[in-house]
Amino acid sequence: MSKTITNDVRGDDTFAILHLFEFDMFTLANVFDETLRFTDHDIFVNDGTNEFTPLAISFDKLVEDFSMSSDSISVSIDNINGALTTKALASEWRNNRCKITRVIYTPASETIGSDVYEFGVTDNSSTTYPRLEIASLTKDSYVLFEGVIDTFSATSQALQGTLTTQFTHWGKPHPSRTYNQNEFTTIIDAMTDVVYWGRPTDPNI
Amino acid sequence: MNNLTSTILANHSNIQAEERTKQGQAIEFNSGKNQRVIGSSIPALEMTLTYKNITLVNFELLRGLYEANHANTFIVDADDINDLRPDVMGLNSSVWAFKEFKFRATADTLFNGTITLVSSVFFNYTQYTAALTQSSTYSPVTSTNTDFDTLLDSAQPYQVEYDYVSNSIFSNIGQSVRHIKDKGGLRRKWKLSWLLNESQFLLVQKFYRQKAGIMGSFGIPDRGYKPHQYNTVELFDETTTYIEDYTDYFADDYLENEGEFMLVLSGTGTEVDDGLFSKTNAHFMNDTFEFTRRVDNMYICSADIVEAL
Repeated sequence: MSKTITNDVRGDDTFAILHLFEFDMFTLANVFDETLRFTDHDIFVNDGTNEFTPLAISFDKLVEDFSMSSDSISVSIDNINGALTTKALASEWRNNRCKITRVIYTPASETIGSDVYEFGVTDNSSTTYPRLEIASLTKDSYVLFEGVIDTFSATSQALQGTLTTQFTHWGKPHPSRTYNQNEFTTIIDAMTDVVYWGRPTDPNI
Repeated sequence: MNNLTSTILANHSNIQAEERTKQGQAIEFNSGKNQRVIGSSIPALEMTLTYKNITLVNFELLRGLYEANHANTFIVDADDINDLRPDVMGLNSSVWAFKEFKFRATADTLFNGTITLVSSVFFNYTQYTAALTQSSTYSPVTSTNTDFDTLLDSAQPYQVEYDYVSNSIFSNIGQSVRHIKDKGGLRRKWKLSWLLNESQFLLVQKFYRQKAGIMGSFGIPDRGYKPHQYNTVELFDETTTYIEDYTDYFADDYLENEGEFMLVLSGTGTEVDDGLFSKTNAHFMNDTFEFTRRVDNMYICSADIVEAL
């Protein structure tokens, strides 16, 4: 992914930020179904190719470090009416691509009647319904996070998803396991014994 | 999407409004400069309409609107507060959601209260409404139990407050509502306040004990109190020509058009039941009952009563 950030508007004292979210959905038969596209802006956002639906969606801090360990990020998506739960249970999210793009832009001025507003509400030339068309705006647009969807949990209020970087495939060669201390008489035994899925290697024990 | 403009904006005495435009935050740097970053660009509005001394008929109109739209967004063309959204994005963007509905009736039987609306970004365009549906349900449960009626015959409250308990969950973007999920179970709530002498108070206290606080249920009149009994009356004009039987004595028309009528000659003695005595199944909301005994042997008490579905 590119981390190149231009300086189109970042030098300004005032700017607007929105995020674009993409989640690839596969059917349970592992056939590509669709890409869900959401934005945390308050009206539809069109990037010239795709339309992003406004939805209450947020994410916590992304931490990256030198260790190349698997960084993750949690997103919380509005699930009121259970539409996303239905989608999540009928499709496969896990291990599929997700992307968060940050767009920084200066809202274009807008003339309403005879009054000019320095920062407009929409920038909409091709639809009757309110939407923000960002293709022609001066902006910085860069991928904030790209990875795979790991797990999700849902309530009637929100769907919480954990996204991890693609390094997750490096960091998880085997399913992790928690040992039960009862199987070993000492800690040292537990550390030195070779076990396979909880069973000692010697079948006679 | 329902348009509630005419009813909501009729009969109010003032509107208190708050507008947020370009929601975000300013971040100060060591240099003293600040950077202003915004996340949402649509005006987010909240307005509280105050209604003073409106009649039962008008109160019931507003109550009906609330019950039919408590969990969906609706249109109100709020020109009175110069809503910018219709000018910027078209009339279909002037949508709102109910945030609060509170009224009270005092002994004069007129109604005072406020309705708070909050702007919604679930605009009345297919692109916004197609993906997610909204609806509001309210299914009142009536009761034929007359125990509470009997109590009210002896111990009338001096004030009744009307409110609702709602299960709906709202989604929001910035300060605006995104859309609403009606989980059912909207319930009416009354708060009755009494100032009673000892014998009257003992009846109220006994009633609370008999109904075991939150356990028992009973029928409460929709108004929360028993209106004075009134009769069907015959109206005549100046020439004593019969006009009509008038059964809606407490509704607004009679008082407004009072000048047209000359005489009220006779009452038939029939107690009028035009829905005023319909009762809702309800129970006490709290498992405690608080009261104050004054030195003059008068008692002050109040009780929250909620509809039992």
